[in-house]
Amino acid sequence: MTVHDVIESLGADVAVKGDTTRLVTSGYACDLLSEVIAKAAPGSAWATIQTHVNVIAVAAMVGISVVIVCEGRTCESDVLEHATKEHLTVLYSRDSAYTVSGKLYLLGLR
Amino acid sequence: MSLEQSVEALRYLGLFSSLDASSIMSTAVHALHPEDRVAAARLLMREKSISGVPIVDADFRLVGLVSVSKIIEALADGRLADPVDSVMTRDVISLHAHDSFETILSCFQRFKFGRFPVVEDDGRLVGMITDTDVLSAIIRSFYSVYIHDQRRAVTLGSFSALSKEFESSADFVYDIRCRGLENAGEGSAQLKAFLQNKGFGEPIVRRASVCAYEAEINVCIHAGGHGSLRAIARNGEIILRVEDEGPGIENIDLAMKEGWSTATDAIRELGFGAGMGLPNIRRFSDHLVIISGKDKPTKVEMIFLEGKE
Repeated sequence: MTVHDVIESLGADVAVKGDTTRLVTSGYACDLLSEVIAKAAPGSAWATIQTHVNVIAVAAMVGISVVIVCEGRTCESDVLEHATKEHLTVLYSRDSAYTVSGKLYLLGLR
Repeated sequence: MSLEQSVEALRYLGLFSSLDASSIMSTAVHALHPEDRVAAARLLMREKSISGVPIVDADFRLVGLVSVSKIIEALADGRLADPVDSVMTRDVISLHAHDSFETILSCFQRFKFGRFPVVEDDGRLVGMITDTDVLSAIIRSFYSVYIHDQRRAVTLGSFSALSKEFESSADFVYDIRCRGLENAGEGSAQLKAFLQNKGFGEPIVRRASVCAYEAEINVCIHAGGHGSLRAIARNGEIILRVEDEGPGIENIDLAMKEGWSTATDAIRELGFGAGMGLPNIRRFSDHLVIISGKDKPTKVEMIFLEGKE
């Protein structure tokens, strides 16, 4: 599936519309950046409650396809600017990372 | 355990199997020709502190070896002015450039010599292996070496041989100047793009940039955001060096433990300081040297070999 499909199915708000034709091939949920950078697969959808600018740096480093910021949290504008520069899609969801992960799993992401 | 049993165990475990004679030998070799005088061999041994001089023909093919004991005999017989041809050992036990680590160890064990010349297929001399070379190779091949005091830094000084290159010929240089955590990771992002441009494969680029990121974050969290990130990237090998100006790591062994961190709660809130930085670096690098200490700068040097994934 693509980032576009994830947006459609999650019903999350789009904070930054990056490259939505990118493939999403896997998922990861974690708030410890070192864990994400070490273990998330390139092409993942990443669910987190972190909202600062390093989220974008980590996502770019790993090759994350879409970041889903959970629990109704939002990012500062500089974070969104950075994401725009990286063509990275950032979504806001009111759900917890658990629920978002469940939804992604049901979509077929393993 | 006898040396023989140890060699057997090494073979069984596959330890050091990547080390062959050409990777262990020292290539800064001094040789003489058969017509040179014994006195020249004596002088060479004294000046270079070596215990044996290989003798080569005009094509650099190994034809003999003069050891300390031969020099002593020649001295006693008053033959210092004779050509080395007349005193050298002719049936020299030599190693082949592609000989395995076990073969080399067996050679030291069987012949009890302090050094072995290394030759190519055509008999040309290409290097020498001493027991010190073997020991250095073993230490170098360890997964990680942590050096945290001056004494060990001196002992393992030869490892910084790599590092000198950084002064003159780093391919990539980034000055880490971080305010808080805002632009932390910028250097690693640039490094990643640089390595991709250079044509390195995705797996090694990922490993190197993940490690660069962790080291850069450490500089930002622990060292006031001032430091440098440099890389030498060529021939399927990436060497990274991240340095800062202190305050240093007091206990490197602790810092290498997963989950151990001195980061503040505020930093942890942001998802850093999980104590995974150095463990991640160890996991993703092929060789790692960390030099630090309390109130000292920290130097982290990492080597990545393409195709090691």
